[in-house]
Amino acid sequence: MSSTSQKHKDFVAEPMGEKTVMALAGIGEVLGKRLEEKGFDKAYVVLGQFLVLRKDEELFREWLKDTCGANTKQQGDCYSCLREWCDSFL
Amino acid sequence: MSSLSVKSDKEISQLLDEYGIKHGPIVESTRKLYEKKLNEAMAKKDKPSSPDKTYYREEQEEVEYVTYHQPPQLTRHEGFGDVTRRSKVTDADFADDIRRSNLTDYRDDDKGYTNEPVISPARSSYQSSSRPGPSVSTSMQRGPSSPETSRSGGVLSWLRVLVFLIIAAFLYYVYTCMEPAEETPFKSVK
Repeated sequence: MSSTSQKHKDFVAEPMGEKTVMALAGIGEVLGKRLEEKGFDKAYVVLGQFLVLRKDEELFREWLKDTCGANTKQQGDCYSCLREWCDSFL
Repeated sequence: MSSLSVKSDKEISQLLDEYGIKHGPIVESTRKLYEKKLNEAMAKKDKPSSPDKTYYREEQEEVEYVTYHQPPQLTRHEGFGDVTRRSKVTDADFADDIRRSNLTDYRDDDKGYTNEPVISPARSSYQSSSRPGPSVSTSMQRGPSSPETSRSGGVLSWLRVLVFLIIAAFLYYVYTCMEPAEETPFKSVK
């Protein structure tokens, strides 16, 4: 299993509050900009989408790919980041 | 099928259930995703042929060939060595076989043989069988009889590899047991 990045660790360590979407693991500047354009400007909005998709991995991955063009690795990083955050704080 | 975008959320939800797609509530942000998934599912269902099915059909035809062709005529005077077994096919068989086999790419091979309008997948199986020996043909017949071909192609290929190894080992054993060939085989005339 690949180890989690520092970004992931930072995100899941505390409530996300008003963090931007680029604070999410797997979401860098380019993807973050695309998400913001679609209206997902804060991490909690993406969290909302994640929850509305019932925290389903496949659905969330597909949604992420369609919305901002994330590749497989980025999809996985973002998904596991959000899932772990939910395990701790939801 | 009417466009999905005019359907109500409830209808989309019902369609997703019909196709067995796991989903959450149909809200503004998820609607596009679910419409896309439904389109893919509908397109997939419309396609009748899949590679697995074709593969299975090939196997089926091999089975049919084995059981169907009882040799009515034995014409041994053909010029084709490997083909003698299959030269017993009549025109009636040919018509049936052609109807059954949709593999157009094999027909090109058939044109070379006037009397041999046979199902080529079976022919290739026999061709390979007539050279190494009768044991291969039985293994070929054993292969198609397994109904799990479409589901687990991996098992079948594993089985084939095993059979091949057994034959190879057997041939190697025979080879090692053979006496060395004489340099002058025609020693009788002295």
